[in-house]
Amino acid sequence: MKTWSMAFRNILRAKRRSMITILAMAVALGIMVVYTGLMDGMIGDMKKNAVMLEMGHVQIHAEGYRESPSIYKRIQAPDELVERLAKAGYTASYRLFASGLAARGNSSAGVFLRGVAPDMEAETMRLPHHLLAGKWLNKNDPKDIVLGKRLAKTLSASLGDEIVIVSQASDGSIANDLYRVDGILKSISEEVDRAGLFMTIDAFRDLMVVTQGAHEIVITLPEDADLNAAASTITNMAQGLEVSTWRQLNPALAQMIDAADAFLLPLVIITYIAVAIVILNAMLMAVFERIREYGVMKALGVNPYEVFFLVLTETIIMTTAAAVLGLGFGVPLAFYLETHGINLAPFTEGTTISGVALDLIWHSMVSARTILIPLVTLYVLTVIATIYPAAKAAYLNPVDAIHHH
Amino acid sequence: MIARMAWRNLWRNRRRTIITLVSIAFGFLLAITFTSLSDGSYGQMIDTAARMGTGHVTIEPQGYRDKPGPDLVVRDTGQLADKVRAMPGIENATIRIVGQAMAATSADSTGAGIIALDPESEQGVFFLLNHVVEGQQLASREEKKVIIGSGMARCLDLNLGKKLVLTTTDKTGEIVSGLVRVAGIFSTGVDEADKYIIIVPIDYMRKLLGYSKNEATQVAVYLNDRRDAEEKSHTLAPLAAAYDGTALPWSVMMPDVAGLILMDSIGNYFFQVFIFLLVGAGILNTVLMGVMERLREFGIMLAVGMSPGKLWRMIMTETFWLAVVGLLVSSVLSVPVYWYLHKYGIDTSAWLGNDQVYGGVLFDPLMKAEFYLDHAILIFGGVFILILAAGLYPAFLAARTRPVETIKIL
Repeated sequence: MKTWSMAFRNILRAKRRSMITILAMAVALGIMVVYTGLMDGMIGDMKKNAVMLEMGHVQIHAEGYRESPSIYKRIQAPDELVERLAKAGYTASYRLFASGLAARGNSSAGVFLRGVAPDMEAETMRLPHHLLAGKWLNKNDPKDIVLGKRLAKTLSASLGDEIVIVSQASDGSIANDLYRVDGILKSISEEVDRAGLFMTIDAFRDLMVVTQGAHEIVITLPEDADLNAAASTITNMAQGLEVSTWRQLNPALAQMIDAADAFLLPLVIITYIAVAIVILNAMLMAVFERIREYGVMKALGVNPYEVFFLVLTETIIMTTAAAVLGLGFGVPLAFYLETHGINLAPFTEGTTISGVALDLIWHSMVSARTILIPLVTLYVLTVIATIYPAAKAAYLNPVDAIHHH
Repeated sequence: MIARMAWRNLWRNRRRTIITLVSIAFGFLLAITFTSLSDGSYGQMIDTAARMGTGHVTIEPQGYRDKPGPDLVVRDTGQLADKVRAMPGIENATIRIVGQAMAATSADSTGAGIIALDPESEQGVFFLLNHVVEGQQLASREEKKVIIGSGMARCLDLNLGKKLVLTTTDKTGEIVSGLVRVAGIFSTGVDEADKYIIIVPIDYMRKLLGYSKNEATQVAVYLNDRRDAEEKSHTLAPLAAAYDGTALPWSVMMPDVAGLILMDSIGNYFFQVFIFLLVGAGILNTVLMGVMERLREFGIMLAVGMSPGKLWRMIMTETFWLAVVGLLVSSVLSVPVYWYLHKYGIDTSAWLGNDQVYGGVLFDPLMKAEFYLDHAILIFGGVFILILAAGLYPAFLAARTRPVETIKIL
């Protein structure tokens, strides 16, 4: 039996209905492709931001530092460890931390002081390149500091302003000095935005009287590196120290990233249920329209499986036509949004999810699954929707069918 | 007569009409579920944000938004708060001093956000006071005791009864310090609060900062209906101005939360419109088929003198009945669905966990539905218009029928 040409002809017999059905499926598919791309893009960007801006893939601390941070719990000889890591192929940077009070004019704010080596930090992390205004630190200008976005606002500070920093140095004395704002960062993370104040390592050591050691070593890995494998290699190199992955440092973020599909799938399924109802209706109407024909076919000896398959083939052909159309507009759009993205600036000035800054331009990310997930799910659901009408056609009684109407 | 004919025509093909009703119910239920769950979630986040921070509407000193600092105050806040509380739609108004400080112990120091309040009037109102897990509440407005977050307690190695030094700048810009003891520790699960916020008695803070008896940084206003925030901020503006203040809604005070909610709403809106369009396609198909198979009938009706306009109206009336029955069935079905979502909600903690923070506000993984009449009316109206719109093209086709051609159809 020439199933395919019969199915084709049947579709063309009800042009308007077939067209409406195919169009509905095509629109649904196209939008699902774009949506999948956008969701993957958002999650991918969040992960990249969290890791590459500030947290790194892996962090090293002195034993007990994470549990209860203190200026006294330091990693000894951080320079040497960073060099060893570099030789093993890991980009690393070390940091010093302390808390203090920053004041400018009548405003003051509690700040989280961060001493970094400007060049090392710029090589390892993206934060130094993420400036809203001004420039990054320079080791020849120890009096220059860089402020987090919101901190600058709280202190009403702009480039060139002088800031007083007051704190308690490691030897118990009052640490007190004057600095100049050299740069203001874009939105990085909740903590950096609100209280982040960056200074050079030398300036920090001077102010806080911390002559040796570092509080944190942060390591970034190449894009596709195996996180756990790297973590164990690094643990071996950092004997006596605590090594943590970004997943351990921000479990809420890790959970959200892992659950990303849990956001995506319900929406895809719901959309396709709506589509499935359209198909069910259309195929049911198609079958009932031609119920006499099917009756005659069966009377002539066509077996139920062939009838079933005939109806199924109609659906598959329509779905394929929809796939061509839907992908035809969905995939280029998804690619366009990969490079151009959706501008979120009218909605937000910069907000955070799980403490990580959300990019102001929402980019999509296109990969095999951007196409495969919506496409396969479409086929699965339309085939399932066709089972009832196809079964009805396959198992009807020829005598009753021919007498129908 | 058209009404009766239309109604009968609807049921001539039971199966098809029922499948169409199912798809209408699906679209409607989806819209109701999404909308009410989102409304519940946003409402919950807004309330949390308001109670954790600065109320649904905040009265703060003029110019504070641009240049926050302890030198800007709202005066006579006691009198102001009384007047605010007397206004309609206001649940409560509390007086606060907020600012930044450094908290230090002999071991270490850290930056802190100070919220100084009147412990008595804030019991049960201020979110953080409901989450005190160790120790006690503050007893008076001037004692030298504070409540800190569990994160800060850990960082500074503090326990109940231990001392810490608060250093900040006062009203004139001088650096001042005060020695206090830990009376209680709160824990919310949100790092931004647990590691950072210190609750201080308000009169003690006034002394430290050199404020007079009734000066404060803000009056936090809590509303009966959080959706009035924008409107109430306008109503309160003149009153606030009399005391050197301005009134701002929570969306201005917490733009992060407002931004996220806005983006989420828009996403939801697009999605629901999209689903409605798909449902509409299905309805179009159905009504179209219903028309196409009756072309001969229409041909005869037109031949015996029915006007095309009346025919058009008959098809539209069929569609109208479809809409009425569809909405009726959908509404009935949505009642138990809504009731369940309102009472029990959907627990997303299984895949999202309990610590998700959006825009600085803790997101409650248990999503419960909330019903807003204007949203429900929007959904009703939307579905109704959608169904009627789906009938337009088939009705047009029917009215355009040429009797001679269609009567030839067997």
